[in-house]
Amino acid sequence: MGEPTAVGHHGHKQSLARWLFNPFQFVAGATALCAGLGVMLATALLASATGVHFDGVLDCHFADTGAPRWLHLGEVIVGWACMGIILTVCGFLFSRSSFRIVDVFGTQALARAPYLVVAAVSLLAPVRNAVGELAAAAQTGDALSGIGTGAALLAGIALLVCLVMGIWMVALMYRAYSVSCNLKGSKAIGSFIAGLIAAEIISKAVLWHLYRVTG
Amino acid sequence: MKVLPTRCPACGDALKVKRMVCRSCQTELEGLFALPALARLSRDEQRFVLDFVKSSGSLKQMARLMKLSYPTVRNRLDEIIGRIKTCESELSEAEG
Repeated sequence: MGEPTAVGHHGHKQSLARWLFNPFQFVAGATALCAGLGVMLATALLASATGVHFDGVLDCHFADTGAPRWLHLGEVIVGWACMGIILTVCGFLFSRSSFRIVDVFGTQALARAPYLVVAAVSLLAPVRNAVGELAAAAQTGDALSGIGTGAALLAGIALLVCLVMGIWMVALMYRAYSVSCNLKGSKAIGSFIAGLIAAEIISKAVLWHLYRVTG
Repeated sequence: MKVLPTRCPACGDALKVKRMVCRSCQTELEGLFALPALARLSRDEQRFVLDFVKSSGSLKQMARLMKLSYPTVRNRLDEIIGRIKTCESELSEAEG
């Protein structure tokens, strides 16, 4: 009687590219959920320190500090929960496989890791100053000539980082959905895009209500 | 041991067994015998099925052994189930 020999025969290559773009082949369920919640908590803490608001599933806005810390955490959680709920519904509608809800929510939580990088980048004082200058110049209607070249360059780099991280996050969210609900091809892409749009709208509505209630 | 081919290398259709022989008395049996569904799976798929049975059907244990996530292993199992169903329908078509 021998132990199953799966490792030797089925071992999948754990390359860096796989870990970057489809880590859910290797991690899902409760492990991903715990790691994802940790990432979201860290993101919210950094965001509250720098005034970044992740107000929606995909949204990321630089604003003044001063909002309560729980509000930043609430924004991150609302974005994640809306996406998790909508994709779970999509999974039930479109997947022929049985799947676990903890996989959907766990992988979606971990897929938000790129926004931790955004929050970390905004922690850098020069970036914060540059974005602040750009925002102030925009308010006076003098956005192009109102700020220095260095500040404009830094603000541009910060926005580029946000864009790249946003794209990476959407790619991770799609992979997470595809793996956890066993969906591929046009059915997966179509339902994911529809789900993403629906989750974005719902999260905006929930956050609008939250802002109204809390003043 | 040579690997048992299950598909025709020329046209890709499922192969059947035509002749069998007893190694003890050399009795030969000739006919047209269909391969069972499990024998038609690829080597990797057969290995997965064997390891899955040895793991008492535990996907969690399979995921640990394969160093893959639970849904990835479950998706692989679903793929193999689909392949077995296709093989079975091919078999029943051939019999019918």
